[in-house]
Amino acid sequence: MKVRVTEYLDIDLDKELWCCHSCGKELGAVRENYKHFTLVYDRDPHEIHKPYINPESSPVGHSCSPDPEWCRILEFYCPNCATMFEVEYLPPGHPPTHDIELDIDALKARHQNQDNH
Amino acid sequence: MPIDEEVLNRVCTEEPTELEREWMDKIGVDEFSVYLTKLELICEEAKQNMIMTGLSPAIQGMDCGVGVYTAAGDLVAASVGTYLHICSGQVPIKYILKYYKDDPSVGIHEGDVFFVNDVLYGGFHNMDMLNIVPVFWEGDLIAWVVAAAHEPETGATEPAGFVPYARSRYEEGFKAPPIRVGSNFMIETDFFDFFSNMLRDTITPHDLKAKASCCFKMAERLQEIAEQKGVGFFVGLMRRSLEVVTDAGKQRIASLNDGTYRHVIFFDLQGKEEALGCVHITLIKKGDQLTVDLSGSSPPTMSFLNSKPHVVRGLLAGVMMQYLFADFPVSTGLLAPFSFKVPPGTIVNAPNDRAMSGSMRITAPVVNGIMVCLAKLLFDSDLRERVTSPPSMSGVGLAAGGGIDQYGGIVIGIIGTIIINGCGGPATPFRDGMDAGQFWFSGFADCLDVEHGEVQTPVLHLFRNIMMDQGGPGKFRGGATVCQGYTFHNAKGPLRLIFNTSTSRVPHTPGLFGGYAGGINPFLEIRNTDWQPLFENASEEIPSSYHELAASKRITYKATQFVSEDFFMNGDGVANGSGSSGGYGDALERDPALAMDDVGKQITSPWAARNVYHVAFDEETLEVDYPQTSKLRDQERERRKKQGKPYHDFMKEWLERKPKEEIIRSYGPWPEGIK
Repeated sequence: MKVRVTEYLDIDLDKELWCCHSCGKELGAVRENYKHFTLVYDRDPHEIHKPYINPESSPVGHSCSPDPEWCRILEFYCPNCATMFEVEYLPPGHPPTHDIELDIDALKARHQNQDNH
Repeated sequence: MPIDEEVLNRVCTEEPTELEREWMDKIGVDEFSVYLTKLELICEEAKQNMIMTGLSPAIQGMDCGVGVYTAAGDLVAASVGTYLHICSGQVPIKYILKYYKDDPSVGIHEGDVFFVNDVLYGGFHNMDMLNIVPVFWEGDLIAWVVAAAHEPETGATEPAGFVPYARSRYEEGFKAPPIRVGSNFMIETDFFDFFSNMLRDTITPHDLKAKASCCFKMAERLQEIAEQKGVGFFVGLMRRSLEVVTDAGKQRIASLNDGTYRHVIFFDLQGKEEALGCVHITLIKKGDQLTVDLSGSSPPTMSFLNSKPHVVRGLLAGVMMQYLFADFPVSTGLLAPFSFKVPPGTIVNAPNDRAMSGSMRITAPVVNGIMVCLAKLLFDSDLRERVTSPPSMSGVGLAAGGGIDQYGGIVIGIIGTIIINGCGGPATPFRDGMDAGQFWFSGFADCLDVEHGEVQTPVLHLFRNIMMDQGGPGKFRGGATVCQGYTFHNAKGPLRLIFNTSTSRVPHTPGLFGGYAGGINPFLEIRNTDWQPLFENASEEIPSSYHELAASKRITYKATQFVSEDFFMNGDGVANGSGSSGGYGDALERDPALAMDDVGKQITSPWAARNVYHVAFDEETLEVDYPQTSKLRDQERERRKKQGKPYHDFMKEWLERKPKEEIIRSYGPWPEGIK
């Protein structure tokens, strides 16, 4: 039985696996951080947020875009279909967040109870 | 006058009295519904009174609220404006009850008016000023009412109250613990004169009286219920509402998946200076309880950017009233499922002597981080339709200050119009966020018209419109902010302005499930222009947008976030935007037609349509080339697979990196912050 837990992630409760909701790819053990099973890309924020202001117009280099020395965009992709599961704006070197750590036993029990009813 | 941590943390419902216990179950469902609605209508009438009689532009834009509280100080009904104001009422009421009720030099009497605006006594920042009035029936205290609003002036070292460079609370002007300022249904003249003497303006003292009159009217209406239905019915009604909401809230939480959810937010300002800071947010959901743990935060700043745990709790409550519990009556009971762990000696639990007039600029992004956690908690539930990216706070731009206006009088407060009330709304799993949709703290607040700002302050707008490329890209785009550009016009003297903002290095408003963050925009400080001839000749060189102004070669501007060095004079100007929300989902899944619609409205640039959404289109007709778009998006997916590295391989290199020491000089322990 699969449970959809984010826009792009399912959990296969029987196999205890993270799965891509878009392509069905089995990613890895659900008791681990799903990000461990993704492809990760370090994107310069200027590629998404265009720096409209010439930094020379500012005494401290403001550009209307996040500063790549302060902040990078980490993109987490499905290794099979490249759907972007999540992004994080992090200072260079800051560990990505373990953002979803479900109580799998409680989740299984909940769905077991629902099936019994 | 002790600062009482026990009272500051006493936000949950007090124990019922014997009379409340006796009556709460005697009230039938129909009467309960009718009279609870009546409480809300009493609040609505009072709020409208405040908007009509208050002079603060913030009140006119609905940055205000009124509430009804039990005799023990628990919130049971409200009308807003801005929820945070009524979430800050209960702590000072409980303080008054604990310290002054039995003090013969103060006491609590019918016709009294109390006032509070100090963050250390339950407030959020000292521009938010509350009037608190006890309600009596036949000699007994049966309720309290509160009328609160953001006011323009505090007598701080800068006009309008925001002091980015303040190193302690003693630079931030007037701060009152709960204090009686009125008796016999009148504001006492000696206090009014003292209050006026502390401030630069006349609006703030006037609003003290306006809010008192709203409270008196509310008290009168509540007494009518007590007279008609009996005091047992009245207190039983309020108690039943508290109990019903508490139970319903816990049931709702219990229906969600147990687990731990995390997010981290970063700050880039320490008042006037730039430096990186963090708050790591952990939300633990177990059974019917939610624990918010902010262990892993940066140290307090030597600026106005500091906060306290009760401010986080109050703002979160205000957001929950518009979000997770939007279908429930407003009530203290909504906080029953929440508990908080906030380490002392951090930016979110700063020492009492630190400056805190910018507390919202720290607390709102923290609450946004909690909302990211809640969105991930809600997705697999019956409440999926409530999942959103967090509402925009990043870059909420406020040009506040004071000087001489076009009439030769003193103007203090927000200069121009209140574009902070025109932030972009959050994206959802089903639709884009609303452009110019809301104030972060309130879905009801209003920007007010350009003409309103031009009548009240000495400015002439060049433009006010939606700012391009600010809504966070995604399958559904975050709502984009309003931006404005204005020049000072016909002022009879100089003006002092504080560019009171949040961020220009690191976004605060994240997206969700692959959606990118909302954009950021520095203030543009414009000097020594020759606008007047341009206006006289209706010149096309007058810029009509933030980006056009930024690209103009004719206009000299400085992009900045800080306190301006010099006074502003006629012909100088300002352009700024406010906050925009993050997007929802993968931008490659965005309907190309929606992207083109945004290009046509100048909400999305052709650059972003091509490079972020990967849409192929005719530049002149904006017609989508669907086969080519599909091809471009497939190519981008292949590029992702080539560029992306397996997580553990990526981490070997990534974790070796670190921002420059100058950037993280005030961060605390890298990367985890203070536990």
